[in-house]
Amino acid sequence: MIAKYRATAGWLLLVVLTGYAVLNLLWQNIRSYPDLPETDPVTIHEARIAQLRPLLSPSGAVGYVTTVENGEIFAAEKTFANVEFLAQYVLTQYTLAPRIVRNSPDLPLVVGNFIDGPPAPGFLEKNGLVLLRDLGDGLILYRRERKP
Amino acid sequence: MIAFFLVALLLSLISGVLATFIFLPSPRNDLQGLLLRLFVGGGLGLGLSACLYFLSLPAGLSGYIPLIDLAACMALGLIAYVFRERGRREVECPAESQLQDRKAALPKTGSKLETWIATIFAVELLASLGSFLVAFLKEPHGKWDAWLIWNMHARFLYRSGEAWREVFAGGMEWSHWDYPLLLPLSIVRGWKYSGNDSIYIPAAFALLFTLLTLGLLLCALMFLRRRIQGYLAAMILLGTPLFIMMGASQLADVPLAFFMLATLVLLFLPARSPGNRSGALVLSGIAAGLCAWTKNEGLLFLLIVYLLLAGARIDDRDRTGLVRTAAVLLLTPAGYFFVYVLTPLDLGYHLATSLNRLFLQLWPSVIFLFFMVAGAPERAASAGERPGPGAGPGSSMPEKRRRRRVR
Repeated sequence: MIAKYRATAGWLLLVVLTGYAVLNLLWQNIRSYPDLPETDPVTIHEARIAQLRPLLSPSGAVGYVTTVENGEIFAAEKTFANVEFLAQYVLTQYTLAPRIVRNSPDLPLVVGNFIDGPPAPGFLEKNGLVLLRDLGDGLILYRRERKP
Repeated sequence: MIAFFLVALLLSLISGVLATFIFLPSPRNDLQGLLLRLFVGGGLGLGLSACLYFLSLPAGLSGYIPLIDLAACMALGLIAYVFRERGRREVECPAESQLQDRKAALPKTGSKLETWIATIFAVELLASLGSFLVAFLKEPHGKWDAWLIWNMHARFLYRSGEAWREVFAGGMEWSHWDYPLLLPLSIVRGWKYSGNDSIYIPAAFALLFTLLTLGLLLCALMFLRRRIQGYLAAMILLGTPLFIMMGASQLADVPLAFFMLATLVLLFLPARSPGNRSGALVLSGIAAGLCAWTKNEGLLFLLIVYLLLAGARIDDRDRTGLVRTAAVLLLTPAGYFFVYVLTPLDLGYHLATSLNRLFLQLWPSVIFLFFMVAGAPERAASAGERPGPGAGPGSSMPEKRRRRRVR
């Protein structure tokens, strides 16, 4: 008799707990739904970077510069100081694939992604980067004119 | 477009299910047996289709992948038909089948309690699908690692066309190009069929592997135990919020979980199929191999499964040598640990520039030790044919005695 009640209590507990977990997850998701942006950040970034595609050859490599020095992009992420610059770089690569986006200004064509502000004064001149096309919203395509 | 993608999935599914009919022949199938085939075969079919696509890449035949898939599917169908005909003849002179008619052995189904549990499970499943959908709408490209690794790899392989090799030498170590390709190639295959690199295809695979894992757990327990246990187990999985959220994240963890589960489920079938023990083990081995083809962690799983399938065989003469070798291989990394901690160099730099080489130095010795312990595959296969207590990995004692007698 006790064994029967024990078994019933067992599956009942299981059903209640799993039911709570499943419905709670759904409730959390439904509650967060109205706060969702109309378009997710990856899609927004992709649409912005995609403007570069017609200006680049379908394969090959391009350089990359951003608000901070190139060496800081991965270093900031490794110390968990800032993942934003790495995310911007990775999404630029994600959008422009199969072109390879090198984390360096040392290539004939260089993508400038300055959504978080301009680079340090003199950075572009130091690397010999000349504006080729300003696509707005901090997205610029540079031509590298000379070696530093 | 969607129709072509569905064709790709259907070909994978049929190929996988046919593979289960080849390795687990059964003239009589009950519903649970067929459902188990569907979920095991569905996942294995997806994995094997990715392997086939990978083989078509260096051959320059990836453009013909629908034809190759169709040919493979027809070949498997033919083999399954031949096996089935042979099985029918064996039934005439009665032999035990792989997935036997188990209705008599099963407890009564369709009780009131079972109906209630099934209804609650259905509600939980719908709620979880709702959560999955919202998670997809929130992040249609998946989470960080999805677009940094898996979907990125798929994009490169799809968009590079015939120049797909170049990306591996592209100097993008940060995107982990050493990772296995089951998931990216499954996505690429889906894109090839549908004709564009839509973001819905990776999401569809994420949903598919989530449902396959859930379905496999449900059906395996329904088949091996009781229906109600299948429902309860599936409810526990659904009640693990991380499972649904990771599934929707488009990472490779849920596909890996599926292949791990498939490997383990298939290990239970030989004991229930005295007529054909090796078939289930072959499928289990394939599933374990697909683990390694999904994520690097799968390699460790594959090695452990191999050890389990082949069994451990420790010769008395080797015992001292094995203990010493194992001690050396454990103490050496322990020594390295202290060297890393005590030397004044920057730890991150020191580890990044030397750890992989230290492991490489020990790796051949580790492989040697592994195979000194593992039984020979032929021995395991012949043990699989032999019913009774001597068939499993734990049968080393009689074997040992026999060897002693020979000496």
